[in-house]
Amino acid sequence: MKNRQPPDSRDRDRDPDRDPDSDPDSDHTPFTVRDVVATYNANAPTLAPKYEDLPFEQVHASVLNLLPDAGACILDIGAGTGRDAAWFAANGYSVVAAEPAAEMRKAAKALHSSPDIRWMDDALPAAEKVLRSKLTFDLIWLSAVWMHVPPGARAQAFRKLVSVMSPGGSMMLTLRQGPPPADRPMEPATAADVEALARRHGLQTVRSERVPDFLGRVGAHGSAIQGRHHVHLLGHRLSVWGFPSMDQHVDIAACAHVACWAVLRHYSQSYSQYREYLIYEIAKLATGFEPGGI
Amino acid sequence: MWEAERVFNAAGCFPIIVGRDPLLSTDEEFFGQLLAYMESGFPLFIGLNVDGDGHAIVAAGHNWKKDAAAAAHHVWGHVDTLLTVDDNLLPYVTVPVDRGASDGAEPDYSTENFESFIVTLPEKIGYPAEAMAKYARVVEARLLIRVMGCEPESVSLHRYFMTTISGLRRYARENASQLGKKLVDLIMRLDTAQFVWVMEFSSPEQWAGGRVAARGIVDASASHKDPNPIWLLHNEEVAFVFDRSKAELAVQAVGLNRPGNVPLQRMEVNLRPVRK
Repeated sequence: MKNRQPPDSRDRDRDPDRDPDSDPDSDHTPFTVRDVVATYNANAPTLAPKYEDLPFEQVHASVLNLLPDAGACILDIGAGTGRDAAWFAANGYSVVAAEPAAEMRKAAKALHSSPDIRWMDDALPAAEKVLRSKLTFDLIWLSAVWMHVPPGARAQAFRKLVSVMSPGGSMMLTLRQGPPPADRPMEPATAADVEALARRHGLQTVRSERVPDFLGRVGAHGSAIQGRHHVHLLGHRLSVWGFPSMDQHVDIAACAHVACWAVLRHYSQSYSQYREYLIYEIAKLATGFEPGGI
Repeated sequence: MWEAERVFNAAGCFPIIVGRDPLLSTDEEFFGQLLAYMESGFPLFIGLNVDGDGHAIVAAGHNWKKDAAAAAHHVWGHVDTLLTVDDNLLPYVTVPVDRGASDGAEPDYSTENFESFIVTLPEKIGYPAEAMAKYARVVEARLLIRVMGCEPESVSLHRYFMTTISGLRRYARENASQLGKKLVDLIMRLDTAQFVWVMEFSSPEQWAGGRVAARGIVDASASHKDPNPIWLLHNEEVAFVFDRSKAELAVQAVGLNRPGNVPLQRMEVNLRPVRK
């Protein structure tokens, strides 16, 4: 994302503790930044080697040609083990690496000691130390960070980041998609959410792209036609996005019946003019035309 | 397939059967239609032949190739796998496009085994994917290259899918900074039918980067014999707005004045990323 705003329209001097757009401690916030920091402190020994195994050039291949020229000043927010900060430093950039988890900072300093990296114990949404430094940055880098910012605090965090962007500066965010792992507090964000924030702050989206999960977390992958399905469980109404599938009832149905059922079940869920057909109804419909089924 | 078609008819749908016949169409044409309908959000009933045995599955999604160097000039060449529902391999299984990739692993078939598919369309759609494939070639040659002056290589890869006009407008609103104010205004003011085809033109290199060179909006409720079903055609700099309300097709060229160095992104509107 590119900063199109003149520097004097930024809000560097606003009180960092007050924000009209967001409330980090709102009841709707499913976790706090403190939860995230505690989790990373506890899991640093297991997470650090995983991150370090992935080369920077592989993970960020799709944005390499958007990086500023060497010598630019980069803010790496949630720098973790310092893999990205170290790459920037080695390639001639000046880096401020903000990481609130002490154990991750400790691992980072052991792995990547560089005079061109200035480490800060700082976190979103306030980013107080970064703001206090009075530095501005040509590139703000948030790799696998945004989903750890509580949703209620994202507007504030984004505004703070924009306020430390140099005129013409850029911001790069990666967004993890999918439900959170049990061991780490996070809430997915969509590209549209970020685009809306960017638009509100006068930034323009230069590139938005899907990239594979480089930690190899594969399974059913790609993109699929999905509808929102509702279920009731112990009085709770739950909903899930998905496409219907069912086992073949071998006494009455063949694979073609099940395929018809899946299509019609999706239509009945997604469009009000279609009703759901049970598998035996589909078998009967088919049998009516050709005894014995499809 | 005929019996399955009748089941869909009895359920109030409007099914179309598309067969794979080497005498009538190429594999690229067959799979191009399959992909177009699937990217439009219509799950497909697939009939396939596995070593002489008939089988039926549902195709409900796909995965693009991650190899940025893939240089295929047909959009099907950029598909890695299809996400399908096979009642023998629940809940979902990915079917490889490349036959070799299925060796020794489930499923024991690839898209090479597909013989035909059924797509069930809403009543209001009259312009099929087969007609769109032909029309995209006409738009490339007569409008993009000859009139707009696009380089032939930059618009050689065609992709087309249907969406609703509200879905298109939602995309425009959510990507306003990329599209630019003028283009968003044009899309918001389009006087179209409920369903539209979106055509995207790119080079293989642009495709690998998720970008497109030009995009067209076509009336999905038009007759398949309509010679000019197009509403809007634009590249990064200029848009042609077509007035289809009169017998004589009128065209207005509008400068887009988009932000510099911001490429047009590929649209992904009907399918959702699979979450694990």
